[in-house]
Amino acid sequence: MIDNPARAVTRPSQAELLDRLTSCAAELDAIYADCAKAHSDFGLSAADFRDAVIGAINKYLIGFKEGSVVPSAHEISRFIGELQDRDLFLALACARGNEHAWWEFDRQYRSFIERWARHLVRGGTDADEVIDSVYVELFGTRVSGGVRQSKFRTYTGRGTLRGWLRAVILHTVVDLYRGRKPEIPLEDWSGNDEAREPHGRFAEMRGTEETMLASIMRDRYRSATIAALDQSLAALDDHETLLLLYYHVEGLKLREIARIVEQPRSPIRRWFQRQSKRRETAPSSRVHESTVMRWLEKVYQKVSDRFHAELADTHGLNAAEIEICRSIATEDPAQDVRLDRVAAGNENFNEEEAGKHQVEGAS
Amino acid sequence: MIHQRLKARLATESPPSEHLDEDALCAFVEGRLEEAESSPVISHLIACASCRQTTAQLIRLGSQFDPENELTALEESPGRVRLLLEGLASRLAPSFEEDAVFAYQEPVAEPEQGTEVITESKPGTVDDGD
Repeated sequence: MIDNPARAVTRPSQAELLDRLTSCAAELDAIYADCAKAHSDFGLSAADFRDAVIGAINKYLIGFKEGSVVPSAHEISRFIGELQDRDLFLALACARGNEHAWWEFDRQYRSFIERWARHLVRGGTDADEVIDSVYVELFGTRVSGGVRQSKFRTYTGRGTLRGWLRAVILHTVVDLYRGRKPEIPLEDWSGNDEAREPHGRFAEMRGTEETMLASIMRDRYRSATIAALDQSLAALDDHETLLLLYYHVEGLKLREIARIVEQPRSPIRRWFQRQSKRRETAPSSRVHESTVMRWLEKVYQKVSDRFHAELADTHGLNAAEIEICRSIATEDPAQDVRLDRVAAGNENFNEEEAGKHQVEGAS
Repeated sequence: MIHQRLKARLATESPPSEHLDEDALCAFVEGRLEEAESSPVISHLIACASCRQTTAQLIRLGSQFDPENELTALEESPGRVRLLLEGLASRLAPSFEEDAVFAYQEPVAEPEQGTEVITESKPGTVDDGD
């Protein structure tokens, strides 16, 4: 998917797509006219702009959807309306090497790029190298088919140019450090180490007070515990799995996860809301840590239920044995995951406290 | 143990040969994808540690930057190209301040005793919002 905005998908019918795009022609023309009026010196034609929009539609509305069905005129219209049109206009003009566009880009984004680069890397020399690399990549040094391959060509306007630049800078930093030391983990090159400390790190060994007998028993049930837990995790929906991965593996904090789901249209947010019996009453309201915590609690509950069923049905364990397995699964003192807690009916989760935060109705 | 099993599960899966590009990563992190569009992205993020780490970093770093401060700093610091050209222009032609050296300046009268002299304060340094 890298560097291939209009990746080769089995396109149902470009003719059909163009036909439906015709119904949005007035909307597209109006957007182009607005951008061209603001930046008449960028030298970008309506056809160039239209081709870029078609590329974006091919990528997201066809390539990213299962079945590769031609999007409806309504979907295309909505998609066009959501495009970061000014950003796209600027990026396209820069990709074509327009001098005025580059001046404008430099005016708007140079200090942003510099601050991000200096924030990401420690040494000033490295930051300068990153900034230079970003600019070289944005301009493009490789020529293919007589066309200079500017990085800007991969920008579609689906997200903001600023957000796209963040990702470009981040990749440049990673490439720089991995080029020097192939095995360097992504976590090691930025400051704020505390922030990315995984929540579920196995930092402590289990207590020494365990008796030999308990140890033997635990070994006996450990394999069943692992198998049941693996089954329970495999049964989760992708949205739930990603939430767990962000929290437990990537070490994102609740407030950081809340940021990603803050957008009312966030797919993760909408997915969890759809699972909720309570309807969303304030679609634009913020997602707070307590909301994410409730989502996590629901995922834990689902894992716990499935875990219990697996042990009982597949492994034929009785209630006492299941309790042993549960204690094995939750024995790590550094773990935030508490299957025993969710099994007890979320007693430790402070709903009252959560309510103080004016949480939107996503639980 | 969930953490451990999540990692173990990831270790058994072969990472995808392709990665999400910056455009898709940004659109996902900014929450701009429709659910149907995001489905393959989420599946990819589960399987691909590299892209997942990138999104996690973008989320984390995004929360460390205040967009309003970014904009303020943006307005206050001109681009490097502009600075470069201004520097070149100043070398080619003397600046207004250099001209002022040769301009007639009325001698400043000695302040009378007991009169307070008001000096212009130096502007404070600009916080770039980082």
